[in-house]
Order: sequence, then C-alpha cells, then structure tokens
Amino acid sequence: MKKIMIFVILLLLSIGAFADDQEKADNHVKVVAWGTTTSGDENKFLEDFGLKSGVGIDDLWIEMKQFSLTGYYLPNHSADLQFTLFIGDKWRLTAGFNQYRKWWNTSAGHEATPGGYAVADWFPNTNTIAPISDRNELYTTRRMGYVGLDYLVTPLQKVSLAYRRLYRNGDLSPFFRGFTFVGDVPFAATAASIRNYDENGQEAILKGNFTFGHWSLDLGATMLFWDNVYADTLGTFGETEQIGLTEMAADFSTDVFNTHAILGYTFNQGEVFGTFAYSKLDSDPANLLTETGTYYFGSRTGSGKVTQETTHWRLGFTWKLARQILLHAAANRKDRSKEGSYAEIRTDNPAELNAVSSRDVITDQLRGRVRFLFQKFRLDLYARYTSRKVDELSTTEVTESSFDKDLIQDLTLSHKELRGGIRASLRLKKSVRLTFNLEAYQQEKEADLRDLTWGYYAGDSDTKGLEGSYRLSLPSGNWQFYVQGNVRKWDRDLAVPYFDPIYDPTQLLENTATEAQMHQHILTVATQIKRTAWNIRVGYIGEKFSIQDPFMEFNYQPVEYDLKGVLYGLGGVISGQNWSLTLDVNFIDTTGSQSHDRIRGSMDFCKRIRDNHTLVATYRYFSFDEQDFELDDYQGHFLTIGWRYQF
Amino acid sequence: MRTHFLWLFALICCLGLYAQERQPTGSVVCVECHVDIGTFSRKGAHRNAMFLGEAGRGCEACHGNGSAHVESGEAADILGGDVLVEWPDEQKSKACLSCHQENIHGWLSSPHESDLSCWNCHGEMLHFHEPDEQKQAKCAECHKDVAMRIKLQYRHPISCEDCHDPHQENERGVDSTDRCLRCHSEYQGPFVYEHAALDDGCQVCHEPHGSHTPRLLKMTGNGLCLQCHTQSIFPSIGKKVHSTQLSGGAFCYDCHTDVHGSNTDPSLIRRLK
Repeated sequence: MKKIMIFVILLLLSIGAFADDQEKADNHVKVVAWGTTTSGDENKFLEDFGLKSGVGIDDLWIEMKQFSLTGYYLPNHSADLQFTLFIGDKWRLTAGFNQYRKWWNTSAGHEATPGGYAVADWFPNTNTIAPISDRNELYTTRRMGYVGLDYLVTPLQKVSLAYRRLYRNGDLSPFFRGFTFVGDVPFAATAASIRNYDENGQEAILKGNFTFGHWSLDLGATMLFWDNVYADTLGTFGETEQIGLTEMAADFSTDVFNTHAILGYTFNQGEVFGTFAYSKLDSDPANLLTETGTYYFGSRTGSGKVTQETTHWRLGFTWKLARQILLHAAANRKDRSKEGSYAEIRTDNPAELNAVSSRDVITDQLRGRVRFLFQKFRLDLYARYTSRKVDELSTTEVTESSFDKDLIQDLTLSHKELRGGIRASLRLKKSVRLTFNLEAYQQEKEADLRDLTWGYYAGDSDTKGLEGSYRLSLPSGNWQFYVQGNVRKWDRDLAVPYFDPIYDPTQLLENTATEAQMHQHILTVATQIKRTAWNIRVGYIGEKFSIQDPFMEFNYQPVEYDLKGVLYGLGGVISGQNWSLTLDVNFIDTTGSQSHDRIRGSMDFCKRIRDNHTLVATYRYFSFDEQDFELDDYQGHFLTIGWRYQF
Repeated sequence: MRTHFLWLFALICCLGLYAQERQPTGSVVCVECHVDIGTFSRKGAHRNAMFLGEAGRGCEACHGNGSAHVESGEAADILGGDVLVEWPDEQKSKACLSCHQENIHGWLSSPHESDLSCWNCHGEMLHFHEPDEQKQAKCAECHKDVAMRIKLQYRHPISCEDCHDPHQENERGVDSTDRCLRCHSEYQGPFVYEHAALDDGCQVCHEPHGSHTPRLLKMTGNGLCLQCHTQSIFPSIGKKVHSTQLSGGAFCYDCHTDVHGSNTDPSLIRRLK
C-alpha cells in the first residue's frame, strides 16, 4: 500500500513539473496522516466513525486538457477515485473505484442500542464475539469499480455504456443469537454471533439521452448478476462455558434486468412527460447447514426459484397558467407480481420443507400541485392519493419424523392513503423570510385475512399523521438569527387478530392504539466580528412512542420510550493573512429511557507555508455516554496532520 | 412620417450590418486578459464549453458578444458579473438553460424552480470547481431540518446528490426505494417470503438522513416492530406467546433476523429447527 502511495505522489510531482503552464490549473494533492486514541468501548467508536490510524490521500485533483483524475483514498475507511479521458470532442472514457468500509461493534448484543438490559444480567455471561471468534475487529467493505464509455453525438445527445463490478465482503454482528443448555434442554438465547458475507455482482449499463427540439428521450437498460453467500456462526453455550459452535450458510444468486424510457415534451408554458419502466428479477435460493459442537441438527440442502416482474407507468404534466400560477399533476401505476418456491431436505434428521408463495401488488397513485408565486409570497398546495391492493397466498408444508404441519397465509389487503400539504414562503422584508411546511395524511388499511394459520399479520388499521417544519431567517446588521424546527406525529388504531390458539376469522378483532411523536427545534445566532465569524446554536429534541394499555411484564424490553433533550453548539472561524482556524463544538444531552449524551468537538487549522504548500491540522473529540448501558461509552481523540501541494 | 420611417429602416439595416460584422471573439481571447478566470476555469464546470466548445459557447454565452469590449477595453461594452448578478432569477435560469437544455426537461416541475435560480446553487462554481462538501453545504442552507438530522449520532455517509436530483420532480424518475437499492442491492430480493412493510418503502423503518438509533432505524427497540405487530394480548404476537423470547431484554430482530425477506421461513427467522 505504501509503495502505491509513494508512486502516486511521485507521479503527481512529475505531472506538476512537466505540465505546460497553459495546462496548469489548481491541481493539487493533500496527503494526510491521522491517529486516534480511545478510552472506553473502542469498537463502538469504530462502528460510529470508522476512524483508525493511517496515512492516505485526502484530496486529489489533477485536471489536464486530455484527462482528469480526482478523488481521495483513505485506507481502512473509504475511497473514491474518478478518472476521465477526453478523446476528441466526441468520446469520453471514464473509470473509477469506490470503497466504503463499515466497522461493527464486536461487543454486540443489546448495548448496540441506547437502552435495554445488559445481556450479562441474563445468559450467557457475555455479549462479545470473543468466545466464538478470535476476531477483535469486525468490518464489511463495499467496493465498486467501473469503466465506461460516453459518446457525445451532439452536446445534447449522449450514449453511455458502462460496466460495474460490485463487492460486499466481511463480517458483522447483525443479530445476537446462540444456544444455551439449561440442564439438558436446548434453549435459544440471545448471544453474540457473526455473519460473514461474500457477495459480488456484475452490472452492465446502457444509457442514451437525446434531445430533439422540444422533445427529450431518456433510455436505459441495466443487467445485474448478483451472487450472495453468507454464513452465520453462533455459539453453543453450556451453563458455565461455551461448548461448541453452530454454523449455517446460505447462498443465492439474483439476476436483475431493468429498463426504462422517459419521454418529455417541453413548451413555453410547461411540459408533459411519460415514463415506462420494466424490471425482472430471478433468484435461486439455496441453503446448506454444517455444524460443529454439541448442538447438532443434521445437514440440510435446499433449492428454489423466485421470480418477480414489475411494470411501472407514469404520466404527468406541468402547466404554467400564468407567471404566478403553476399547475402540476401526475398519475402512475406500478404492478408487481412475484412467485416463489423453496424446497429443503434434511438428511440426518429426516424432514422435508416445501414452500410456495405468490404476491401481487398493484399500486395506483394520483398527485397534484398548484403553486402561487407572488413577489413576496409563495404558496404550494399539494395532494397525493395512493391506492394499493395486495393479494398474497403462501403455503409451507413441513414433514418431520415427530410432526407434520401445514402453514397457510391467504389474504388480500387494501391500502388507501390521502396525503395533503401546504408549503409556504413569505419574504417579509429584504432577507427576512419565513418558510413553513405542513403535511397531514390519513392511511386506511383493510385486510381480508382469509386464512392465516401462522399469524404475524396485522388486521385493519387507521393512521392519522401530521408533519411540519418551519424556518425563520432574520438578519439584522452584522447579526443573523435563524429559528427552525420540525414536528412529526401520528396516531394509529390497529384491529389486531386474536390468534390464540388458532386464528378464527369469525372472531372479533381486538383494537390497540399506538402513538409516536418526534420533534426538534433550534435557534442559531450568527455574527461577524472583524476577521472572525461565529455562530451559537441552542435547540430542543424529543421523541416518544407509546402503546395504549400494553400488557407489560417485569424485565421485558420496554416497548415504550420517551426521549427528551437539548442540543447546543458553538462554531467559529478566525482567519489571518495566511492562516485560518475553524472551531466547532456540539452537545446533545438527552434524558429518558433510551437516552444518550454526546459531545463532538473539532478544530481545523490551515496555514499556507509557501505559494504552493499548505499545512493543515485537525483535532476532533468525541464523547458518547449511554444512560442504560455504560459498556458502550467511549471518549475518542482524533488528530490529523496534512500537507497540501498545489502544482 | 414616411421619411422618418425610411431613416429608421436605414438605421436598423446599418446596425444590423454593423452587428453582423461583430463575430464572437471566443474564450481564448478573453483569458488573455482575464488570466485568473482562465486558469481556474480549466477545472470549473464550464471547462469544456470554454476551451473545447464552439465560439460563442464559452465566456460569451453568458457575458454576450465580447468583440466590442475587446476593442474598447471598456467594462460597459460587455455584460459584466455585476450586471448579471442583478438579473431576476427567471432570467438567470433562462440564460443557463439556453445551453443546458438537458436540464430543461423536468426543471419546471421541480419544487426548486419557483424558489431558486441556477445561480443560487451553482453561482460560485461558474468559473471554479466546487468540492463535494460545499455542494452539501449548499443544500443545508435551506434544508436545515435535514442538516440537523445529519448531525445526529447515526447518519448516512453519502451526499445529497447520491439520492436526490435537485433539477426535477422525483416522480419523473425512479421512486425512493429504487434509490436505496442502487447501493443496497442485497435487500431487493425477490424473496419467497416478503416483509409486507417493504410495500411502503424503506422509509417506513429507516430514517435515511440521520437517527438516534443504530442502522438509521426510526425508533429504538421493539416499538418499531410493534407499530404494526402489536396485539392486545401482548406478549403474544401472531400465534405465538413471546414471553420467553422477549424476556431478558431481547429485541424482535434478535430472532427475526431476516427482516427484509426470507427464502426459508415465513416468520423471517433464520430457522435452526
């Protein structure tokens, strides 16, 4: 890796030395070295910020007459490099590489969320992955490389062909499941586990954009072949220690074909457009199980076929009735149809599973918007009506030595949603501006549960919601004031099937109500004093979820929560002739059953040493403090020193 | 009257002939004096138009024919930046769209059309290139509620443009779920057993800009699932009494791990038995 970086830097310096003056622009490279120190849960810090010590290129920009190379490369974190070669006026060759690495907390279990109870209070006496793995770091990495060729027939007619290679590999701790034996009885328990991904895909993309006078036509087609293999490793625990491992693996490949066409016609007062899209997906799931350790099921192999087709139509227009009034309306229909089957044979402990499913979803949507635009006032009124019909039938047949069972889910679902809103903007005086959005919606779901022997499906529901936001900008001389915030709220009444012991469609459904609220408000004051600029932020945040009269029992994970808190921050920029210093500190201090406190601070220093050389230094401070689970807490320090060379 | 008309006609003809002689100078002539603009424009958004395009499509596309200005050297003989900046928003956008016709289609339907001109967002990059983080800061100037969400503990490590096209109404192109699947292909299925919530899109459970909860979930804990799966006989859910499963602080997705869909289990569990 170091050799590559040294080579890249030498290459850049060479380009700088030999580039024709006429070709020189603001080409630059910024090389940085960074380090972190952490106290507390280092892996939680990694999960949140992905910062590990290293050396990399933070900013690269080379643009010559014939080619450009731009982007950044930070090992262990992310990268984005883009190369473009201009071949005459007509052709353009592009290539790129993109990477994103996501780190995961190795002490999985419930400390991953702010709240709940420590698994250590229950069983097994650990929630770290250490007992089932020698890994002390977990990460998954997404990589994407592509090469493409564009042909500009004219400046407004372009045809593009591209090939992409996609990968997602690595390990994560997505869920927390293991086995314990209480006496001789096997018992599923919550304990850390690892899922390993090994996925890759290939995609070919063909696109064309054409404009003929008032007409425009976008055409596109993609083919994606995606292979997915993943394996779960789970611990098997005795009463005092780990006694084995269980591993499950599954793989499936998916072939995707997408195509779309968008035709538009633009005239002086508006435009008309129509879209057609079609996609077809084929997947062939497989499943196999290998096991080690005490808890042994026997091997299993499976195979299946799932096919899904979707067609999507849209028609719409925009018409400027007058300079002040604009009318926009659109209608679309999406028709998705899926059929699937899966069969599995277990050999050592003889059993068979046969599953068949079908699901058809038709969604129709109408939307309209009217806009009034005056010198100091803008008003948008809009409405959207969505209707969805779902027809689902799934059967699962399990034949085993000890029991046979047939599971059926046969239902139709009708979902209607009406959503309407208002967006308004009022300019009171020059630069004094008030903007607010308000949206209300109502959703009705009617379920015809014809056969529902495995449950897990809600019945009818009625939801009413309100969402809104506001922003007031108020400048006064050297001072600027902003007040802004947003609110979301919904209430839902659910008619829930009474499933005990077997769903009986003649029985009356029980009603339950849930309610959620989320809101945040913040005041920002900004000012300039000589060669400095400052801003102060003070805000309030709250989130709440509740269930009407829930039957809660002791030691259950709370299903209700109420989080309240304040946030405040200070930012500033101080600059001299050849230097600048930027400061920013943010505090979030919350209370309630799911709360956490957080501090983030940053200090960026930048000084030009010579004409082409600039020194940059950054310090960041992070503090995370959970109320319910202290093992997640951390404090992190992050220091960067970099050198920017312009050539 | 007739004489006046003839004089006027002759004057217009002369002006027309005079104007015809005035050919666009081309950007190469402009940057002989405006060295700073010329240098940095090589990496700006108008790089191709200025140095590879036809005469009249470079600097003069916005500033007007420069031949008179080249001759006289007078600022008054060309549309300077100080003049252009005073144009009404609609006129500014119209000037940009005279070349950028690929953005005409859809722009009128965009919510940005009435509120913003091209200059509001692109003004600073007409001559210079703009780093990605500055683009994001531009969006945040108005969309402060989203900007605030991005500052929460858990946030999406991508830029606004990765999902949003600011130049057109969303409905013209792909829908919101398709945007998510561009990167998260593994969740597109199709699965033998689907989670019906996906009909409403990813945003039923996820808050894509930023959240207090890991994995950008809208809510913490089991409340998210119980929005739809709650029952008056809780802790029974579906046909199954969940007393054991939910004790000890367990979450729904501890067992129902394949929440996006499963090929092997209708309850979206990675079933071991």
